[in-house]
Amino acid sequence: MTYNIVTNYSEPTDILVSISQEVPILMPSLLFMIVIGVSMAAYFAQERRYGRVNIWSSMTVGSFIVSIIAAIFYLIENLVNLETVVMSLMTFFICALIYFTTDKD
Amino acid sequence: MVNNFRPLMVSLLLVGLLIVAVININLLIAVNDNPQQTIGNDKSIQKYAAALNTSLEDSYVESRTSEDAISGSPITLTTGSIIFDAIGGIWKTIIKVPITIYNLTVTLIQDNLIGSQNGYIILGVFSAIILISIVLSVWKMVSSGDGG
Repeated sequence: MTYNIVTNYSEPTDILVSISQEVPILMPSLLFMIVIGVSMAAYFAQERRYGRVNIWSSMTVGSFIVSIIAAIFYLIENLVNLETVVMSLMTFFICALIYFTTDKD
Repeated sequence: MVNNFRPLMVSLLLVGLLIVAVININLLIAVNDNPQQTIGNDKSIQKYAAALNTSLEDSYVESRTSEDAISGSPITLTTGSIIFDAIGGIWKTIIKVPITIYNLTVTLIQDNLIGSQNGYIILGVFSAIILISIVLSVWKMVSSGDGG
């Protein structure tokens, strides 16, 4: 068995694709981390600026950004699968629907 | 959670439009960069695009029929008929927007996440909850006279 080393890859994207094929949970984990990171950033920014917080608005922002990132990642072959993209879109759908339909005061 | 009809419908439309925008961003980037695969290759989106195309063609024909009804000769058409034909045609055109957004979202879920036999049951329950919410919201709007 031959091991793939860095010199076998011509582009940086190939390394990322290779890693994500070896560890399929990597890209969904990365996207989940981005959701949590952006949502927490939005949450604490709200708290600092307005003194009031709405968790659903933070989650909406985070999941919308991740939906765009996942959709762009899907353009690279074998990086993320369509289920991950659809799952991120549905997360955004649910968070935004709850945010828009609940009382915000 | 949802007390009125208007916020629910506006939210559904807004969120659906944002999902369409995300897919559109993906396709626009794909047009410029010519990648191996795009989200447009997905069968459910292709099916949706074909259905939407047919729906828009029907809508175009109905709009032309409505226009003909409005601009038709007043001798051959009674006033009530003109108004009802026009309202029907305009309503059929407008209602295509939420139906299209609903179809896109549900088709994506159905074909990619819950495509099994049990998945259809889950999807049926999901659709029933949305439909009952909409019917009850409409009933509340009619009975109280307040759209929210």
